[in-house]
Amino acid sequence: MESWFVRPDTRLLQLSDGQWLKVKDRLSAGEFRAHLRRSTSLEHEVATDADGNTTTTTTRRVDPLLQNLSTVVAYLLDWSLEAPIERCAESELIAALDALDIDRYSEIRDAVNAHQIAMDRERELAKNGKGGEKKSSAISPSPAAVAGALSGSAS
Amino acid sequence: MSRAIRGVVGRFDWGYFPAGAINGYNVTRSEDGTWSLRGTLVNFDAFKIRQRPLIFVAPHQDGEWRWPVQTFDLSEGHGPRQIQATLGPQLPEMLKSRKRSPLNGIVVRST
Repeated sequence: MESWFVRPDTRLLQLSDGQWLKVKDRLSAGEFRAHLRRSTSLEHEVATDADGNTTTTTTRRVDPLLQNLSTVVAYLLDWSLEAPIERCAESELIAALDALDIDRYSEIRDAVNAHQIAMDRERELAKNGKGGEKKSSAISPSPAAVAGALSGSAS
Repeated sequence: MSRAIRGVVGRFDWGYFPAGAINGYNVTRSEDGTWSLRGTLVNFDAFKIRQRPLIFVAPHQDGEWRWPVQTFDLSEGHGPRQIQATLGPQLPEMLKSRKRSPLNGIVVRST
C-alpha cells in the first residue's frame, strides 16, 4: 500500500538550451498550505450597524499574480542556471525568479505547472488502478481540486 | 589512527527536507572505520528527524561532507539537546560549483 506521507522524491524537468529544473514530485500538506498562504492575501472589512456596533470580516483572497509564482516556489529545488538557489531562503528564490527574463520565467512557470498537472494525473491513475473510484472526494480533495476551489475567494 | 572533524554548523537532511540543525559537532572515525557523531541538536522536525534515509551534512568552505545516519539517539524532552549517532561510510563530497551534474550535484570538472 502506498504511504500516506509524502516522501522527498524529486524529478528533473528539461528546459531549452540544455537547462534543467529539479522539482519536488509532490507537495506535502504543510507545503501546500504554505503555497496557499503565499498566493493569497487577507482582506479585512469593517462594517458598522445602526446601533454603532462594528464587525470585522476577514476574507482570504487568491492573488492571481502571486499564484503561479507561488507554485514555482513550492516545487522548485534547484536548477542549472548560474544563480545558485539550492536550499536558499524563499525570499532569495523569489528574488532570483523575479530577475529572470520574462520569456525564461514563463518557460519555467509552464514547466512547473505541467509537472504539477502530470503528477496529479499520475496519482489519479494510481488511485483508479488500485481501488477504482475515489471514495471520499468530498473530504479529501487533491491539491489541484482545492486550488480550483480557491481560484475565486474564500473566507 | 582515528580521524576527527570538528565544526559548528551541521544539519540532518531527509531527502530535500531539512530535518534538524546542529550547532557544534564532532565526527570521529575510529580505527575499525566506523564513524560517529556527537553534537548539539538545536532545532528539528519531529517527524522528519525519524525518517530514513537520514543524512548528516557538515558544510565546509568548498562544499559539504555527508554521511548516512545508521543509528541515532534522539533523547526525550524539549529544546536543544546533546545527540549521538553512528554514521555509515562517507558519501561522495558535494562541492560548490556553477557547473554541476543534474544527477547528484557532484562537480563536473571541465578539462
